[in-house]
Amino acid sequence: MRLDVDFSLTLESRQRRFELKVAFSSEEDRVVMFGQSGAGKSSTLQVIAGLRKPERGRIVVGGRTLFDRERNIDLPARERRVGYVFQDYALFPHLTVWGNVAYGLKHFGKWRLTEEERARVAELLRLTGLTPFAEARPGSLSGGQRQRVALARALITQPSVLLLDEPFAALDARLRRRMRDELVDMQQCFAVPLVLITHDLQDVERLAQTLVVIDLGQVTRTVSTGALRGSRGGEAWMTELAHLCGVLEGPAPCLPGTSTVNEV
Amino acid sequence: MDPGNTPILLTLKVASLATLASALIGIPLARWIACSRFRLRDGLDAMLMLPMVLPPTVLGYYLIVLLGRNGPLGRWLEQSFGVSLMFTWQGAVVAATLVAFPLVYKASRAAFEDVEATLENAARTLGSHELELFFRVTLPVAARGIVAGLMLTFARAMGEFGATLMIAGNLPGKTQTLSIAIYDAVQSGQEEHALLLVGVISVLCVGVLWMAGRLLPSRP
Repeated sequence: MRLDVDFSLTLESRQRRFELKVAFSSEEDRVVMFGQSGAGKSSTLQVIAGLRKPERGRIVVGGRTLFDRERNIDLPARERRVGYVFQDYALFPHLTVWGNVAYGLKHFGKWRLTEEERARVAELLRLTGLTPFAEARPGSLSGGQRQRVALARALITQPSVLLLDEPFAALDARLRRRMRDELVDMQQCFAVPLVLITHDLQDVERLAQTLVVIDLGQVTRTVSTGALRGSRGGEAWMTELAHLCGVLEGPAPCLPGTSTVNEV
Repeated sequence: MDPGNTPILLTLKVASLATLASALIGIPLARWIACSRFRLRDGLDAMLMLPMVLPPTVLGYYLIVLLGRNGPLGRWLEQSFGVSLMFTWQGAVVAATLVAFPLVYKASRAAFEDVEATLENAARTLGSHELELFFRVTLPVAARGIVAGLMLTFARAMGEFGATLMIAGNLPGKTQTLSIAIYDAVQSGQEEHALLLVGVISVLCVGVLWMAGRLLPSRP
């Protein structure tokens, strides 16, 4: 899938003024955007999803123009067909797991799911291992299960791109590894391209086909990692990635082996 | 006829309708104030809370000025529809609504502000337009706080005295609500009758507050 993102946006709060100028494009299906907290990653995803309006620029996903200032195109979020997995998952607390996943299939005037849609919900629950929890509320689930609900809910509408905002940040290291593998499986199973943002090098290593490094609101590097990886593996490749991500100078909290945040 | 019967039924009728009216006024206002940013917002917010602070007799006086025979709204109602709210139970509903709606407004505003913006954003990316996500996400998530506010509104409307007395008067079997009937009974020395009515309204209010308390704790 081809993804073209090029926009600028000024974020203003009482304390600071922040210029976000992001431009990158990718032909590959798994884009990982790497940057430290406050680099503008989340805002970038929100702009792609239509939750934030940039001042200028163009966003094209798979040949479909979602935003183009010059041509006056600005699809509202509901028409962009993006799946969004929020950092804290943003599951609807008043709905069951089933209700959360089925949310995107129901609309005013269309409350009943068709046979085919019910089967789709059931299939997604099965693929994410959530079938036994279909009637549970999100509040009673573990971190990993919530993440799977968020993923299933985002995939139900067959989005043209899946956006993930630090999806593994709240999980412990072991679970993170497993969820990365699950994410790759789901991505291939649904043939949906994804854009994931992270400040964890392990995510880059496992998931990135295109690596976009963002720092202080600017894209500093866009790399297609497939060609680079070549025969290099293990430590050498991680070191190389750390260099690419610009985390080797100064404190590097995300270096391999050092980043274990325990689940809260 | 049991003399206690009419005031009880009338009170329940007035309080129910006042709660309904408060919901229709207070909830949309709360939603609007909670999600908008304009210069006079805080001033408007204070205005809406005023009925909670002002003495009910002052509110009653305002209502007489507004709805009385010579008041602008009263005259218009009289000329257009041939109705007057003065000394009617409908007038009591207006008084109780004015006094009680800040409670549902305040509770709803807090409940709406507690709904995380990402929940609404999630609904947007899942294809919901604004009105739809209000009814499918915002309102249900805020429901506990709103319902608790409605309970308090109902309790307050049930106990309304001052403004009601000024606009609806004290007409037994017509506008005499529980709290006014109690006042009347005490004034005319019917101690036992007063005690009975006091018991009834106490039990009703405790019941309502108990239900409100059950709805208030944090969600599971």
